[in-house]
Amino acid sequence: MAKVYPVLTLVAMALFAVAPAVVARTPVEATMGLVQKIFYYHVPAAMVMFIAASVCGVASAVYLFRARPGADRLAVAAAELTVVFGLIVLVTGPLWARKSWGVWWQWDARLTSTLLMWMIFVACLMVRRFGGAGAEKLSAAMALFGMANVPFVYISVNIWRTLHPTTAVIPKLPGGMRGPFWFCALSFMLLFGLLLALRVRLEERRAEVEELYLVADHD
Amino acid sequence: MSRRLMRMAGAWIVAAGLLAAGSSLVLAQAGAAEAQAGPTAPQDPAGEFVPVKSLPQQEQLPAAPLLVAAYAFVWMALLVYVWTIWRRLMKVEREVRELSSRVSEGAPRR
Amino acid sequence: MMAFFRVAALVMRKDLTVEVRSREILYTTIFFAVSCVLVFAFALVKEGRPLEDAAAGIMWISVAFSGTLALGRTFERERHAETLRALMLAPASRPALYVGKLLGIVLLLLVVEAVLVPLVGLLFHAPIANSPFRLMALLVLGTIGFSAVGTLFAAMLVRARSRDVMLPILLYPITIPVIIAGVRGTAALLEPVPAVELADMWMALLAFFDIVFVTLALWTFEPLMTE
Repeated sequence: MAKVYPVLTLVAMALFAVAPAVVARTPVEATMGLVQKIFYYHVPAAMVMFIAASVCGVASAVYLFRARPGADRLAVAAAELTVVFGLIVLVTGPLWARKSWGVWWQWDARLTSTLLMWMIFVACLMVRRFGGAGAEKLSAAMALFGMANVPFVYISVNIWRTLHPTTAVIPKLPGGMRGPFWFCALSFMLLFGLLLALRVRLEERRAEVEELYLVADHD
Repeated sequence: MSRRLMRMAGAWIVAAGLLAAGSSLVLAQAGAAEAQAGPTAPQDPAGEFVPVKSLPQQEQLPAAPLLVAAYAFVWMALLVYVWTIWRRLMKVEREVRELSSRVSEGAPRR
Repeated sequence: MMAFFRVAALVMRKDLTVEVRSREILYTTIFFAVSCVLVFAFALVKEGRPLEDAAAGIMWISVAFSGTLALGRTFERERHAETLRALMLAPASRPALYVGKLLGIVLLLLVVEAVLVPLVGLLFHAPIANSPFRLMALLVLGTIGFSAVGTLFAAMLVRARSRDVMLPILLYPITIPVIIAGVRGTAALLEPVPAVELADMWMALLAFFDIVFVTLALWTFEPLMTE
């Protein structure tokens, strides 16, 4: 397991190093122009945000119903990554929107529901920090509600008419855009896996510290 | 094993930082070229396409700074996050070392 | 199955009996809701008259804020008398206990809304008598959705630190969609000519939220309340 980390890290670094060059060579979109190239980071980040939210939700359910501490560690790592990648989505989106729609923000279904889902996972982290004893279970319950939001956020843009592009854009990507897009998506997902493993490792070390404290105090 | 991880994380951060700087420059150059090349018509919710030159000055937003800002933000956010993990990991490793030495010191005295 | 409803009804009756004796939470919640409406009315004043289109939003904001207070107070009372632990020790199914508490909160909030809605209609010249049944249905569905999540988290927070500030932090991101649907549906009904299809769409969405939230809450109540 440990041997695979250096290889994966090198691969992820290589992918990220190449990504901007790949994106620079993509065709420019007709209506939105140069700023549309934010798409190559905005959408993969959103995909990772959904995946992280789902991982957090599943791990939280396992923690609530099976009381496995490993599941709680995975849940907190996934919650942090949901917040990080969600922040990326919520900042790159408005930067794109400023040029493309003329405004930084719109209270439409997609943006509002994404912001609320992001805030749910921020609240997960806050309750762990400030909630005192038993906060992990509360955070797990929040994460379940957060995961329930994921399909809602995804289809919100198909049900309601919004300025935000619909999900139909991805399957219909023109050839010159498809390759770079999936390349970026792959590198983001690889990065997500690595960061998740790293963060879970941190939690495992913390658990070891707790054990050691118990042993040390016992003497 | 964890020391290797820390060194890997450090190398990742330095390499990624250099790449971020480099790619931002590349993109900014590409952006400057595009901005000079052709008109980009901003989306009008009413459904009309308006040639760029007839827009009032403040609507001719240059796209390149927004693009660079977006990519720079992504890099920065990921770097900062990796750095916070690394910082917390170092703290925990230090605690583990202290506690291990404390436990092993305590044992022989008993 | 009948045992489930009997337990829920018993818990609800207990809560109502306690409340009817002192009426403390009822009166304070109504007063708070009215103050909320007045604060918003004065804050959103234009040329000496409150903004008329703001009626729907102000109504639901006041319900959300006073609901949060009522939840906090109700469970604070339980914590004070340690009755929550007694309830948990009773040989009753946890989901039934949850449903009983939920019904009590919903009833309390509906009484508050019965006072609030005419007041809002009065202050903001809002035609609340346009489609009274649809408006009531919206309020009931929205209150159930809000209270379903609120009861779950308030019950769990009884034993937590900084519980007063934690409840809004946990509650609002999850229940804001309910508030949005409530406000948009109410706004549709308070138009001079009520937009009935639109209101029905928002009502269907509220029903959907209610089903999802109550299901999730029933599912997680037991593991959350067990140590």
